[in-house]
Amino acid sequence: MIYLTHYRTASTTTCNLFDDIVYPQKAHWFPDTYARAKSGMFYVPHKLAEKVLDPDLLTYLRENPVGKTAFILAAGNAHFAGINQRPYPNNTLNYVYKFLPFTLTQVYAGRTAQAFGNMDMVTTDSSACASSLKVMMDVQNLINHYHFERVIVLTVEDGVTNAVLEFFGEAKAVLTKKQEDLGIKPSAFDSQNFGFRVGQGAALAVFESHAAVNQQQLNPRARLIGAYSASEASTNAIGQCEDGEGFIKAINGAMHYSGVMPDEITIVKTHGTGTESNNRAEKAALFNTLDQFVATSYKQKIGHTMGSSGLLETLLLLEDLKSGYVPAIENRTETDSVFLSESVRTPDGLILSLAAGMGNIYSAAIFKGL
Amino acid sequence: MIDFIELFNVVARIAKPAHMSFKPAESMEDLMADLSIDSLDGLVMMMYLTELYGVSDETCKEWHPTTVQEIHDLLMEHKTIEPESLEKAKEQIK
Repeated sequence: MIYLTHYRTASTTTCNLFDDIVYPQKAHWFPDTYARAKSGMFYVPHKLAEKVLDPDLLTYLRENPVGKTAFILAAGNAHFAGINQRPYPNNTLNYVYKFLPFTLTQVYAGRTAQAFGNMDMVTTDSSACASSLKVMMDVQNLINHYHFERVIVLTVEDGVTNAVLEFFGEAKAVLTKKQEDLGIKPSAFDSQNFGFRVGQGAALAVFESHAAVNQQQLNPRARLIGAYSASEASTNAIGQCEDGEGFIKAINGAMHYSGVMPDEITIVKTHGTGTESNNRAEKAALFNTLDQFVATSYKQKIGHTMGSSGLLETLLLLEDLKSGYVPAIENRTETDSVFLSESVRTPDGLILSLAAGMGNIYSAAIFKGL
Repeated sequence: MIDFIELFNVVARIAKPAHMSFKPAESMEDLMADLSIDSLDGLVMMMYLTELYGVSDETCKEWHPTTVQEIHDLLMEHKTIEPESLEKAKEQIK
């Protein structure tokens, strides 16, 4: 059995308009992560990661080794080493990397992992926006099949950058200022409102075996029941099959691995970007695979935190469930008791978390809140 | 005038991961390797020190110092600015 024993999250509802870029848009960010970034001495993703690298937790983990331990940096689209990017104007978000080694994803992972004590494995993942949920499959493999006792997952991605904002603007995926001026609000599974803003976010989560939990006499926060990642037969590496093929394969894979039946899952944290194709694909997949469920989304509150989103949003959901409710999807314009337009009390049952990433990757993870 | 060994130790403490042991330099002749400063720590330290003394990347790219004294001499030879105080230097790079 795999338990989630500790976690920390960083995300913000604070939103600013960036109008000095080609596609003016709002984004959720921590301005302090950009402090002195222009000198090249401080790296925005590292500053963001520091928000979840709680010194007390690091000390605890160093001082309480439990056996084989791994560290995974789920770096999403891996913008750590933004080498040879196309030139951008000297605007708010413009910065350069002065010092190469620290911007290389695996080097940064190795350096950060040292803070948790001795490691038996340090690895990184760049499965785009599915990254932090995709690594749940790695956590599962390491603990269930390779006898690791503790796997530490740090997920962070520098989403609020010129490159990302411009790319998503070009791809017509984000809500632009122009659309927001017309009254469109970020939402998902809605006929009027749609789309997302980009956001900065990070999460730190510690997964441990049953033996490690017993050894430390911990009260875990949740159980990871099963996880699976899949691809689909798409010819577009930045598109989605709208019949939900990728999501369906991921959900069925996670249920099959864990022996969970469809009616056991009652709460879904959707990927919920609110794009037309994701709305169709995710809705089709959920109706195809589950029985009765309520579904929510967090991207409307904190933005799309890219590679961090899958795990970070799952941790936020666990907090909300502990408070007794499944939150509504913000800015819904229709009454909906499935893709929630109103918050509902926490139902009994298991939690399904979903994420999708460019490059045709879909991830599903099933949790049980404790 | 800043004591260079003191500045070196401040920069080394900031450059090294907080939880890792660090042996402060006591002499200008100390070898970096004997102070538990590994190659990555050394790179980070040089980045901070060249910023504090206003030395361009182009100038310092060929440097391969091994002792505190050698770092000091290179910085003194090529500096364009100087930190006003230990506190201000610390504030600048932390």
